Amino acid sequence: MVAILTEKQTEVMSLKSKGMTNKQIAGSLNLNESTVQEHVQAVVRKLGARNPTHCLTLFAQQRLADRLRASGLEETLRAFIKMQTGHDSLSDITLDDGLPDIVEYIETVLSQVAEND
Amino acid sequence: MIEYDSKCLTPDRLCRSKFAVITQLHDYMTSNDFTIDMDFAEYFPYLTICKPTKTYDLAPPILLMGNLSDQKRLFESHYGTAAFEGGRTPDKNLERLAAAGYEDAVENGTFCEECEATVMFPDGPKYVPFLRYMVHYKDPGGRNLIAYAASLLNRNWQ
Repeated sequence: MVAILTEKQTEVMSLKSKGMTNKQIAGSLNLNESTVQEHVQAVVRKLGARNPTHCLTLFAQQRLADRLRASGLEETLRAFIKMQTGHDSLSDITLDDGLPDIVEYIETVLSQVAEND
Repeated sequence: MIEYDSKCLTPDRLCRSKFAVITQLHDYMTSNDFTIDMDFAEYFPYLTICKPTKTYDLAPPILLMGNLSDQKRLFESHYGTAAFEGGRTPDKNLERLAAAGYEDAVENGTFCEECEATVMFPDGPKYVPFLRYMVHYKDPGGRNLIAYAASLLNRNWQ
């Protein structure tokens, strides 16, 4: 099931994936720290995560799946991801496998693909 | 010093034991009508992937590079550095001389040749003999791509 996050929730989680604290995210997005915390908790509920770390994993997995579906080269990228992580399924890839780095790398590749269209 | 010299080959006639990855990839692609499925992951570590371009003044930039590919081995110390920025190798002249093969692969489905080249690295030129195979395929997602497999013929090229 794909959880639909609001734009702000996605922004908050993207910054959290980069290792920023709630305080830093609040400063970056001009929000109160408590509002950032509320966004995080809402995402935890939407994704059915057990805790904030699990939430980051699910968020990154969902983001990766979205990128792959829209890329036009999903099977090729799946082969790349399997080479990098050893996993066939995106849902098996964790933060320990370097999930945020893989998402970032795929986004760079896709921007390079789009550049020459 | 040889700048670039090459001889076209027929992939079906390559020695299967010497060029196992290339011959197996060729069999896989031709028997799958030049599209891929999950079995492509077996070949991926030995390949580089690029996207066809509108013109072929230069080889297309590399999008993805397999960990075990001979291209990675060749450019290992430069991969991920400024010399490799935008998927470009450190040798623009080589990319220009090698570009026609990509265009041929896009037009005919596959391209295979044995080459000798002097590759310009930031730390100086090196003579590199290699065999390269390119196949134009369609990802089920809809995009056309080129898979490139190279085999360095002199394992002690360094």
